[in-house]
Amino acid sequence: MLIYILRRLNVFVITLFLLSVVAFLLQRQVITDFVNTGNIFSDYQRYILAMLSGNFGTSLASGNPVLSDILAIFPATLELCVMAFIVSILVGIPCGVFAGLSRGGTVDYGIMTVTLMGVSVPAFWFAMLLMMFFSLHLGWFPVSGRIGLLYDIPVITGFNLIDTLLSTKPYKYEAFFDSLLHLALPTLVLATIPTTEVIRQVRASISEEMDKNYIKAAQAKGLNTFQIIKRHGLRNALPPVIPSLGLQFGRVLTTAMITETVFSWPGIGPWMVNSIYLEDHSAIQGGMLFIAAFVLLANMATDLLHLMIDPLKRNELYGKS
Amino acid sequence: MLNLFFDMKSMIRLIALLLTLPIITSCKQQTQIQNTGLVYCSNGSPTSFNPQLAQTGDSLDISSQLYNTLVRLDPSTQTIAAGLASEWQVSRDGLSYQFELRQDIQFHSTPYFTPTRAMNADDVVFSFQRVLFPTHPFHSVSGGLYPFFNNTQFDRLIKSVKKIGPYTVEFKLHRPDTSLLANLATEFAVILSAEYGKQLQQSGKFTQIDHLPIGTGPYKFKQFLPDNLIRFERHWGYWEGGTPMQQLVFDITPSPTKRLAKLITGECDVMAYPAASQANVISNHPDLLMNVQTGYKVSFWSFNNDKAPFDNPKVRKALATAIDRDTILKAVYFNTGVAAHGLLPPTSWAYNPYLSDYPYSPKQARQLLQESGAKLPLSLTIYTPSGSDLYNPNSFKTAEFIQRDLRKIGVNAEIVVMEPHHLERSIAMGEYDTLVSGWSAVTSDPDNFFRPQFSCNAIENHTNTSRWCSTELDGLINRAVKLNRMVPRIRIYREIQAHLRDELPLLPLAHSLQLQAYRRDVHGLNSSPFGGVNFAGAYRD
Repeated sequence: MLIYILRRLNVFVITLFLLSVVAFLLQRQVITDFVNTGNIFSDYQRYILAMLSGNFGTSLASGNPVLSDILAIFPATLELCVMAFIVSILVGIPCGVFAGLSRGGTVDYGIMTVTLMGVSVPAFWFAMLLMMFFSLHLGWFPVSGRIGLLYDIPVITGFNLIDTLLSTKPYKYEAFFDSLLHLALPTLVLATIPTTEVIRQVRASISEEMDKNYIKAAQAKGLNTFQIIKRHGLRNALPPVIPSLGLQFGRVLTTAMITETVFSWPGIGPWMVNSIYLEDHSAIQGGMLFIAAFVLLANMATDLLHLMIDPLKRNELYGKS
Repeated sequence: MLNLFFDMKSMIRLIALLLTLPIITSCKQQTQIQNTGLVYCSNGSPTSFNPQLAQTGDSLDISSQLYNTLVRLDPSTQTIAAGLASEWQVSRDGLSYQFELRQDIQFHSTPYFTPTRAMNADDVVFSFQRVLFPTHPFHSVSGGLYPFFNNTQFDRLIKSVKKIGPYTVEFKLHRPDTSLLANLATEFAVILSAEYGKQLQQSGKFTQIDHLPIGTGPYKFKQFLPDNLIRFERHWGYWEGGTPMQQLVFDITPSPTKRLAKLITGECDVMAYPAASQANVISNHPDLLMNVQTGYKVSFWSFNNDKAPFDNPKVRKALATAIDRDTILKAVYFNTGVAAHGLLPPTSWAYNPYLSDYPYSPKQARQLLQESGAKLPLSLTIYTPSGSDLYNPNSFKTAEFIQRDLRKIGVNAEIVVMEPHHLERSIAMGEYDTLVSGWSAVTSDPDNFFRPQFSCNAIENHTNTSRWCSTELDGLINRAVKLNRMVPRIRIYREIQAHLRDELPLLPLAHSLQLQAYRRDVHGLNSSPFGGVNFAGAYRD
């Protein structure tokens, strides 16, 4: 276990290193805070030391250190992504199970058709469609932002759902529900991709498990389908799905940038787009490194989580299978 | 760990809870918080919170919420009325203006500053000396540029600003200038707190004066998140009486489409600068109302007169004749503008109605171009800002129409679109051939059109985008403001317009109407014909 973690960390560090080399070489093309002395190795050394100490340079647009700008903005993105993952798990697992159970049947076809549509729909178009129907036509949801602006909620964690509940304002519950309302449409858009992925994985996993002998044994014992799924099927079908969720994180973060821009969600997406417009190189660079590192970290974390949950995986690790 | 998911019943309950709660609660709870304030969808982040430093229209939206001016423009009669100064006297030679200040005016009290006294003559002297005199401790703070005061040559006009008594201030002028009061009435000429300045000076935090503002206006500053929002709070001690709302929030939304969407859903109550193309949607929507005002704005196509062949009047005239301005009015302005025959709008008292215009004729344009002696085929760049401005709903689209018209006479034009902040740099360097630009006047005085556009001094202030500099025109512009009587002034302004028509340093395109959209339940809004909006008396019913 420890050795695996170390190995995984090693891969993480090497990937980060390669990433920083690419970023560094790109940076040399443009003028930034770091002065070129001509010696590429000593330049790189200076660069990597600055990065490691959290110094991503100063944003031209805001005049603040890039890292502090990112840290102020990133919780908004993270909140959206986490909500999207929660929704995708809540919706994806049951749908996947139903599809897997009726493989080849009407329910399966129905669910898979919708899933295919979900994969194919461009996020920005879907977002605008939802906005037009639910916000502008029906008036159910707001079109943009994280919370009604008249709610003055002090920032504590940066996660609005938590901050509203932590605040001492008399309207904190209203504010909480208001931020849920604001979350609804962007979450729906963002959840599409991981949900379809979860459905497909769970479906494949379940239909494979259901053919196995221990399930037949359970059926022979007289358990009904619900009991079988609950006690045996999911327990074995779900763990292999976890690493693929981790891989989805990168995609979700990319889609989040588009979604955020459409819904004016004050997260890292509009911030990056704006930095590009303003040619704010240190901000673009810092944002890129930060996001990349975060995605890598999330991948590693899900891998480790998988390891902790799935005993079969551990066996693989020790060459026991 | 996964047991959470295995408990189907609780999972279903959780989903049901999450889905229904917001819908149930949303409908009735919203109104309570809405009664505490208004949300204004503004179009951009202010560059600073001190209007003295401002150049763009963005910063001005905050001005009348945070600050007051010595005198102001009466919204109905467009004449000068009392503001922080209750009365004023002009000496017979026109060289001295003496202002009597009100004695009951309180500055904002905020977590970063608590005033110990009411506003007095020291504050007025402090505010104007900062702009005028390099020896002032705050003069060079935040860049030390005061574009408005520079463009209007206010800084060259004032000799001294002195305290005569505790509530009496005297302005001494180098020469008589009738536009002084109009300039003092603009939203740029705000009064800052000298006490606050002194406190910052002692702690060495000079720049804070422009980021954490202290003024006398109806709302005080609370919070600013760049590109996101500005939050204001009621100023209880406002001298003109109670401000109806507890708070005011500026929701910074650069895209007009999004501003309108927010206005429709009720996320915003008032919307800055609706796009011309939206006028129809707004007037047909049952919940929305629209204000239409004739604005003091003009859009034009500037030729860089520093560059050949645009220093040749024949080339300029050829290019002007090639442009079909009616199409631009229809397709870009959606008829929310009127054709411009000169820089001044037809509503101005100095407008010259006797001048003929350059009619659209590609054939004549081609001929003029051949006669001009310029090297053919001619290629040029058209620089244009991205987004919309007060004077032009879509500069880029305008540039495209110009490009299309120029192609008809065999001129190859390349459009360079730039984000406004970047464009300003290009304008400063003078690297463009031509520029789609415009001007929003801040006073109704014609001087505010001609001086920024055509005086030699305005080149370095980047408002003279045609980089035009002639001693003859400068002389006329300066002569006009010395005159106290209307008739001779009008005569000079007509002469200026005739001169510009012949020289054509730039081609006027259109005057835009000023639109403002708001929700039906908002009352008491006060918008000036110069673009700003004042929320002092605004409330929700």
